[in-house]
Amino acid sequence: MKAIGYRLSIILAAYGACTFDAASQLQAWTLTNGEVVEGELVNFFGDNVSLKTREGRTLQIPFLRFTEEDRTRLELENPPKLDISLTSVSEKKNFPAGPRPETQRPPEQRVHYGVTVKQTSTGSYHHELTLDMFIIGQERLGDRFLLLDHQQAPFRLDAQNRRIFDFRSNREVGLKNFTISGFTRGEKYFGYLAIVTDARGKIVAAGYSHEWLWNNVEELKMRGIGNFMDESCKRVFPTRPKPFF
Amino acid sequence: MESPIDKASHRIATGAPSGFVVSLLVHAAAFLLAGLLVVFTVVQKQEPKFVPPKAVDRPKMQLKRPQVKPSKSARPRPSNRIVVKSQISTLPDIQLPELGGIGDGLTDGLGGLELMPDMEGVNIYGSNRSIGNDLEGVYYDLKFTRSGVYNPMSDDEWRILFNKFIRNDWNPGIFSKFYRSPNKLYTTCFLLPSTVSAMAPAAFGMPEEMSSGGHWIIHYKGKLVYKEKITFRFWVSADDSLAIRVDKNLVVAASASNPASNGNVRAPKMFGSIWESSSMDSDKYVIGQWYGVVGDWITLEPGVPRDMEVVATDNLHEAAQFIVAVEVQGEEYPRSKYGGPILPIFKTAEITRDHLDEIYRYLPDNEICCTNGPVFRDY
Repeated sequence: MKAIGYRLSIILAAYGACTFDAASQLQAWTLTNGEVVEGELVNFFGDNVSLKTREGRTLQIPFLRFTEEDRTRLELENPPKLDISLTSVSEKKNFPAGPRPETQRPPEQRVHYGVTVKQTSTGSYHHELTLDMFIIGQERLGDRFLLLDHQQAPFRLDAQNRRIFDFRSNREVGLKNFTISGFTRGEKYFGYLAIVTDARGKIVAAGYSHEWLWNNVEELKMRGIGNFMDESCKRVFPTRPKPFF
Repeated sequence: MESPIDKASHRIATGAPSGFVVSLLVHAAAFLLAGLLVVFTVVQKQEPKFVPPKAVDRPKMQLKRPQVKPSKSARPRPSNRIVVKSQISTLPDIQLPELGGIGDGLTDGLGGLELMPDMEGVNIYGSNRSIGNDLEGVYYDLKFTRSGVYNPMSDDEWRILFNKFIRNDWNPGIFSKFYRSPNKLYTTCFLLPSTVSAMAPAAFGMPEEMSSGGHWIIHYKGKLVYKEKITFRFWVSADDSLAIRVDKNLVVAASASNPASNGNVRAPKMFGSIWESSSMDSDKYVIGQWYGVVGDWITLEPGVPRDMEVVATDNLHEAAQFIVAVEVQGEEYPRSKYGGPILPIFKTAEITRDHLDEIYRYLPDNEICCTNGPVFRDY
């Protein structure tokens, strides 16, 4: 068994800024004394929250002055910065020879894919996150892609797990590479896409090997394991072999 | 001096008139209340009571207890389905070009109102779940004894054993000395493009240490039925050999032969002289990788099921292929590059999209049609 760590991810630290993009609009915030403050969330660091009012003034309000509901909202609007990387554990499976060498079953690469999510920012995040992992393969005969694995897993980052979530899929992916009647068949690993969403279903971080996977994530979500697809993640048929004669 | 008693008497004598007045008032109020009660008493209306008539004595019938024998069979009896023939004139089948490279427009997983095979566990040898109108396949591996001990045989021994099975009424007891996979698969078509022979044992769940190719036999059994009267024949392209019988009559038997081999030299070894095609088109056109063998014409009466069996076997080579197509009498079909008809595959249900993916991975285009043609079921 060989453990291989891939660090092909793109740290969307800027995604924290994207959350601010979502919040870059005036929102109503309720304080514990009943006062409602309208402001754009500028920063939330430590125990202090900065809101920018319509008039352009910046207010510094202690976190605990907000109602419980708005404290939850503030936390959700300020997710942790995450580092996402692909992992895999693979072994080569050889099968016993038959009466003749040509009857032996071709060897397979059997892989369990996974993702490691690590919090890189400070502070605690008290809400559940969900990992959505897609593993993409490519046929050997042509250039179509196929979904090798798709898993979802909820998790939390806390002091107990050192703010690291190590996920490994239960699904064993068998990658084949053989030649039959002069044609190469089977499939190989191509890439991955991993998305982390918060309790609201909002994406807070993503890691991917190829940008077109990220750009077509909604289409990718509609694919089933084993489906073939093109670079827009739309379902297609596999490449067909040429006629034998 | 006035005594205390006198003073008290004086006080009493003073209060007497007011007490009398109070008493008078109280008595007057009481009389007034009594008068009100007497005048305004509500009279309750009495509801009429229903009195049922007396019961009439009628004589009772003496019923006999029905004699029911409990059935020992756990299976329910098949019900007779009444088929109403449609009065609407039907258009002839339209031969559509095979769709390639396009994802949409075909049955995608569970489609329509039909019960489709569950995609979990589907491979090109069949599914591990039956939909009812499929054929059940049993796998025998002649390289292993019944208890799983590796005991390979020669090609000649394999041919003799297979020939014995064909000549002895397709009795599976002939394989009783050999290993039989506990898993069965259920298929609605026989479309196994040229692929690794060792995938057959894997498909039937054989232990991995026993999953080598060649010298295996798959025996499928089921029903052949069509909703209307139909006359058709099977075309079979096989590697190594495949035979079909309907109501125990051998209707087609094919062995591997193609332009690269020396004519149809293997079929006589596998099937002896028990069957030969009567069509001039037999062994002329390649389907997949091997020549198509043309079977006998079969006529089905509407809704009348007939027993159908298919047996397939492979020799000790890397690849296996089984393609069973149908030619409906009187139909015209487009032509492949080899000059033969592009026939629809035999099927008892529409091929699902997931199943098509598996087929297309190994099947060249424009040689066989997976989407058109009759679906052999009674509805």
